[in-house]
Amino acid sequence: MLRSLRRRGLYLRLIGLIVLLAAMYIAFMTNKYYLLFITNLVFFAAIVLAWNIIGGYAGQLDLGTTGYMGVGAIVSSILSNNIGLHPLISIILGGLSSALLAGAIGFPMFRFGVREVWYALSTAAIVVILNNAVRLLIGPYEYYLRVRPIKTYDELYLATSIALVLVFLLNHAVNNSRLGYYLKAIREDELAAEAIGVDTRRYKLLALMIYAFIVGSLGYLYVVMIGYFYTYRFFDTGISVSIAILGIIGGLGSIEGCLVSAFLLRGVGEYLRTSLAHIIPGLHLLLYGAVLITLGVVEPEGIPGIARRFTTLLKTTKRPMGVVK
Amino acid sequence: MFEPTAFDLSAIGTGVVNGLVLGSLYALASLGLALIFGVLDIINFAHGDILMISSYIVYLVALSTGNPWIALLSSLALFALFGAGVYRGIIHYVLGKEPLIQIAITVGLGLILQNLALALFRAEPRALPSTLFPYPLSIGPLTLSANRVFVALVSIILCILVHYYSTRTKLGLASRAVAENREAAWLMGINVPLIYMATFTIGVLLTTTAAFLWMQIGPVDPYLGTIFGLLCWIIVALGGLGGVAGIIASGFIIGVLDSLGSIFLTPSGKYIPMYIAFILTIWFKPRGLFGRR
Amino acid sequence: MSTLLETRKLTKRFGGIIAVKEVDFKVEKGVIKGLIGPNGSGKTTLINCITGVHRPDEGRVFFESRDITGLPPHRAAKIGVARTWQIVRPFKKMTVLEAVMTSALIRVKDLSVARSEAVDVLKLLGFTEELMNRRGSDITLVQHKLVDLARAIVLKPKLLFIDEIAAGLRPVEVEGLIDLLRRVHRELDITIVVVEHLMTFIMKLSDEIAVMHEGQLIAEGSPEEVAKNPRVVEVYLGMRV
Repeated sequence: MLRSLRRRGLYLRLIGLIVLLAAMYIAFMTNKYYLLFITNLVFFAAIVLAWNIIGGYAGQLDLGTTGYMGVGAIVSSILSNNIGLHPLISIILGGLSSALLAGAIGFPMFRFGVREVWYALSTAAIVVILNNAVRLLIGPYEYYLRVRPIKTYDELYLATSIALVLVFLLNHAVNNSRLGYYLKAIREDELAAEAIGVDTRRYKLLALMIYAFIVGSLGYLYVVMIGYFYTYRFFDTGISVSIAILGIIGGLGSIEGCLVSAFLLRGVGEYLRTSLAHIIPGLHLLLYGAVLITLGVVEPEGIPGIARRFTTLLKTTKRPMGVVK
Repeated sequence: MFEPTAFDLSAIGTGVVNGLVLGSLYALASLGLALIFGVLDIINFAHGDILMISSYIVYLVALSTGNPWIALLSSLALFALFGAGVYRGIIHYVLGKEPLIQIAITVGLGLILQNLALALFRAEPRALPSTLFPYPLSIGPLTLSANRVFVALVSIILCILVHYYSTRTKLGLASRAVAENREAAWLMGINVPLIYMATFTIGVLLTTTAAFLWMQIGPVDPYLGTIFGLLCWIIVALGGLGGVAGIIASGFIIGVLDSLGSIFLTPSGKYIPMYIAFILTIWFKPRGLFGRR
Repeated sequence: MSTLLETRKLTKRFGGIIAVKEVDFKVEKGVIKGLIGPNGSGKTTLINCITGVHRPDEGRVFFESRDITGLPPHRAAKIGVARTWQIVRPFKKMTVLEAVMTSALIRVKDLSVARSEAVDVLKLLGFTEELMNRRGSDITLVQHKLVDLARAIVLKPKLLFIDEIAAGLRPVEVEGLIDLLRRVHRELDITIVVVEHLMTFIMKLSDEIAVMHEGQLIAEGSPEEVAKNPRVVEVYLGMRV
């Protein structure tokens, strides 16, 4: 990871991300409402980047995000709130329990070759089961967080930004490692990957568990952000689907593409949702739907595909006329 | 709908019968999805939302004209156009593409339909003020509404007609040939694009009919599509591809699990058994409980 | 010469159809062996059973005297059995170099070592630097076939199955391919099994030839012997040779 850090391109991107996060803070620090708004954007950008590992690199359409996030959130909140463990340790244990759950689900799933639409549906079904099972177990109440390690909105923004930077670095580390190459090969053609020696089951499971660990650990931040550690919002297939949508539009496996779709598209979407909800509810989802259909027809590779078209367009227009053989 | 305090036998009996009624409707609702998946090899995540939006159209026309049959006919006509239009405008572009792109584009369509409904009709559930056959019917020890019997009968008859369509009619046989081997069907002189568009439209029309029947027994809200979409995929997974009988059988299983679940479990818990059944089926019997292929 | 690969009474059924029937197939170390037969004679199924894509119903597979029956493909690849595909399986969103690097990374841990090994193999197969950095979606079918071959070669296998690589190539390209495969065989010391139904290609390239028909081996020997074999002539008369 350190070696890949030394690559100049990555330095620039990292600095760019930090500058962006700082600029957003400076622009909105005076208004609590907008500060929480951008914290939410940064948080979900981290979630989309985590999804990128299983969905973007490994190409598995996972719709279980809010399930893993919810399990991590509940475990870490109970550990820090009711048992009194240090929040950081609770976060790690919450992430680990998510990863374990993912392992327990992923092992049979990959063993029996569940893929494509069936993988997507299984993971969505698991979220529904978790949702109902948790409601049966602890009731439909919302539990408030009593112990609050993060006191102000500014601290919360800082913590969320650090989380995003960490997930960003982890994505780059995966991208420039054997694991990344193996996962991309699995995404492109599982049987061909297997035939060149990639243990496809093992690496899919590893990707799933890494993703579940990140999402599970981030669950605690979400709890701090919204204030309670259990709510129907934790196991929501709709949110899971919208995470996957942002990852797909971001161009599977493209870190910058995911950031653009998470900030820009989700930013516009959330703005529409919060400001126009009373006039036209669901406008942000109409926007996602329209973008999905347009991209699906015009540019299935999403944002990086558009960027590539744009650069080739620039190159071809720069070329002087009349020298084409 | 009702919550008996003691789990007596008649409650179970009523639950099972209600489940069979629901199940036959679920089977009909899933047939369109299975047809589109089987012949076009398209993963349609907008299926439930198409059913939801059809339900609204049936509701609106029935309410304004006061005649449910006009509602049925006019929504069938409208959704024939809708089906062909969606095929040509969207589905056509993702034929043979990676599953993920198909899922993405149909999720997009579903989102648009769902949130259009939300914007136009808001979230309150809407039900027809009167049903087709508002009187009870006694069969042996059980009392059922004639309405439900009607829904179940029509669903089953339509399922059988679809079976007849795909095994006896020229169009049905041609579409099965396309499903088996697209290139070979091309070479045999079958107009593959036409078959695709026809099959997609027929799939949508079956869904519209299911929506009409649903409006006779239940309410519609913008989220009806999410529930129906998952249920239909579960039924297709359980039934495997290719067989109408498999779809009917798994429709019954899910209908009964749904109905008994709402008696014995909380309204939120009722989905647990069917989702577990679904997951176990696709893990251990990926070709469905009754499946071929 | 020692035996590198041996199958004993290998059988594979699909439903009621027997695709491969009690095949005893042997490959000696250091040869280029041809495997021919009409379409649907079971050649690809035989390879699939050996490389772990299919699990054979009966019979055993031995590689370097070790029983490898039913080993999953990634394990087979790691112990030295590589293959290419009859219908190419490209990594469309990766560059040519990245695709071959993925394969190299199975043996070497370091990314830069893997990159230089992948570049070496691609150069051997005639790829220019510009071509190496193109994406899988932007190259021709012939180039795809060579990338497929490069992905297999960079594994440094002991045994390489090449499934119908010459189909659809122009005669000049076939000549070039024969020289190329000979170089791969000689310089990298890889035993090769070539599956093909293009007779001229396989006659020129192979040291020995096995013939399959309806799931069974019906003849084996040097190209001259096989060409004279009455059974083979009979089977191939129905085909455009």
